[in-house]
Amino acid sequence: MKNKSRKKLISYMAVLIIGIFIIQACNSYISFRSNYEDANKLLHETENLETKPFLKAHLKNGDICILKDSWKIDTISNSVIGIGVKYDFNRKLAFEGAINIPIDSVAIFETNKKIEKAEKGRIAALSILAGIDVAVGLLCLSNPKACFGSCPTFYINENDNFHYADAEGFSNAISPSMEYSDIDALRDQHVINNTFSITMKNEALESHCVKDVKIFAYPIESNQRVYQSPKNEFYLCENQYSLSIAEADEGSITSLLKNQDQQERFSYTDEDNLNSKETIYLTFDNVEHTNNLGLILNFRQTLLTTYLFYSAMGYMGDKVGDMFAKLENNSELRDNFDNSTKLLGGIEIYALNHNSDKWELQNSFNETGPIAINKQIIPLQIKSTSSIAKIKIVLNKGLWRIDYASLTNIKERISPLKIPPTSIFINGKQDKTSISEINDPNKYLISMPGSEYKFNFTFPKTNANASTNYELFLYSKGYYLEWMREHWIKDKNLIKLHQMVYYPEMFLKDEAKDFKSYETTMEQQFWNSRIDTKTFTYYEN
Amino acid sequence: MVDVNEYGSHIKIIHKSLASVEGELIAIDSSEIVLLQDTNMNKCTVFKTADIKQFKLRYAKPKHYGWTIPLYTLATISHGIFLVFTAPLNLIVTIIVSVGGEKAFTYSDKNMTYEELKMFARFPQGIPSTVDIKDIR
Repeated sequence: MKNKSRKKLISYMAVLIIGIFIIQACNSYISFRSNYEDANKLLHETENLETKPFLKAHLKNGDICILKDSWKIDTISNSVIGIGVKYDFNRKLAFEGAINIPIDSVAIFETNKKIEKAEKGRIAALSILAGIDVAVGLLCLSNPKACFGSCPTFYINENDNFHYADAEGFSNAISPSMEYSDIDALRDQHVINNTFSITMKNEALESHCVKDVKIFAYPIESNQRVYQSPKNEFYLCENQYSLSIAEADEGSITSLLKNQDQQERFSYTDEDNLNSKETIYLTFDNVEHTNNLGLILNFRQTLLTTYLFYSAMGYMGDKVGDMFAKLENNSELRDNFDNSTKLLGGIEIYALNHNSDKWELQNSFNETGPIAINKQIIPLQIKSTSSIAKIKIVLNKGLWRIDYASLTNIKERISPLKIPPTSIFINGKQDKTSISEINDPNKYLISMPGSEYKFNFTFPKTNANASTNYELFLYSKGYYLEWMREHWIKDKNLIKLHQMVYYPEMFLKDEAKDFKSYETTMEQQFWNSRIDTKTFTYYEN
Repeated sequence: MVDVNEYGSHIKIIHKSLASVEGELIAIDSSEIVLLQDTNMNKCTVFKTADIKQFKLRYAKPKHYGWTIPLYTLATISHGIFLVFTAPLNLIVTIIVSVGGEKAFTYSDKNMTYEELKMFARFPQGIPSTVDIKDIR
């Protein structure tokens, strides 16, 4: 979250707390009771009241008469008349009914206004708070990702919020045995004074067990870029060929895919089957150098996989601990656990072979995670002498958001520098324990919800005072443990879980309608909550 | 109900040298307070106002909101990462409300004089001359 936003939120909270404090504290009962030794004064002060207060007449002998609001003073008989009760000095009931009290026998008259709605301030405060709690709860229920995030998120600018995450680590590693390493492209950066920092945040209700964090870097010249393939191979590239035409089922999507502007193309799932494919056709008609072409794609997932994962957790219900223990000990179950997600598949890339006029499968992009945008390349195997290149993309409906597509020329495959962190800061203070944990292959850095770690890296020295432009990638390794939510437990359904794991085709059909009702709100909220005004340096080609 | 209660208000007296005592405020004059203690309902006790360090008067039963502190705060678990903000907010507000609830319907020597305190005694006019203090229950 940006500092400005954080300050704003804290200001709102302070105003709210002060407001609630004032509301609940503004009750005062100081004036509810009055004493009169003089009946005339009592008469004058109460005669114009619409509703007379309760009247207590403390008699000189210690008895007390309590009259309801119908009493009156009879100035002829010099007495107070009304309906009420009389108690003796020990407050034993002496009489109940119509009472006539000689004023001479009264020591003090006492009036008590009824204390009405004495608790209204406090009830109002709790109601406002409950309203806020319910609103936030509903927001989180309808858009869990906005509240719960997923896996460690990394930010070059530590004040950015999750909409601007530069990378998200090991999204699929949901248990210790599923630990793996993940590489995400960062922006190309001018590294000044040979130092670079990135902040890792835990923005979810998860425990993150981070084994390793490194920066992979490669120095580049002004016309060069380095891209990473789905197999984590790195390619030094030159030239970029903009998209000419992009078409999908809904028509032209050229404007959405032409620029790196976070104007993403996405679709909704099929209402009858979550496992339904669609096709996008791309045309590049201005390719100058046709050798060693590579397709660059900026993409991320929708919230579909998050929904499936949270559904699986819900189906486990109170057996979640047992199920995760089984996952740890049963490799077959572990392999099958994400069968539904596997069935949805990746983004398959086909290139048109102009000689045979047939589409040839090149490879597929497949990176889990809905937050950070992945920037990857697939080297194309086709050889063409034509300046026109045609690409076909086959992907599952409602699963992917695509921001950008272009072609480039691959110059060579390279090996980037692998730079470990030299220090870690927590809240501005250096933390030696964290750096020793992250650099020890047998230890984990444990990050809990709300934690932030600033990793500092020192690059090899180049010319003094010079800044070098590097293509940067973030390497992270570890796993995370999702915290069970109370409201998930009631969704326990082990039969459904079994279907999800062993009969994914059937599950994805059965689940389509349920997801559909959830999807529209979820995706719309996500889309609306995006902020378009920010400009990234990596937009610039 | 405070409006029609025939007894005096409940008072806690913190004595300068003796232990604190609580009970029904029977009467008060310029130099003494008469109290019917909770622990000894058969006999009134008289305290000199000069020996009293503090008093706290409660004229109606308070509403207790302590239960809202854990309930509201725990409810923020459904707020995901926003609980970083909503949990302290809930904690602060429910504590304020609970403390406010406990302090409601009370006065103390800080906001009430002995003269004003008379209004909350069983006998605001003082002990009647016809009543023997030993007979008060």
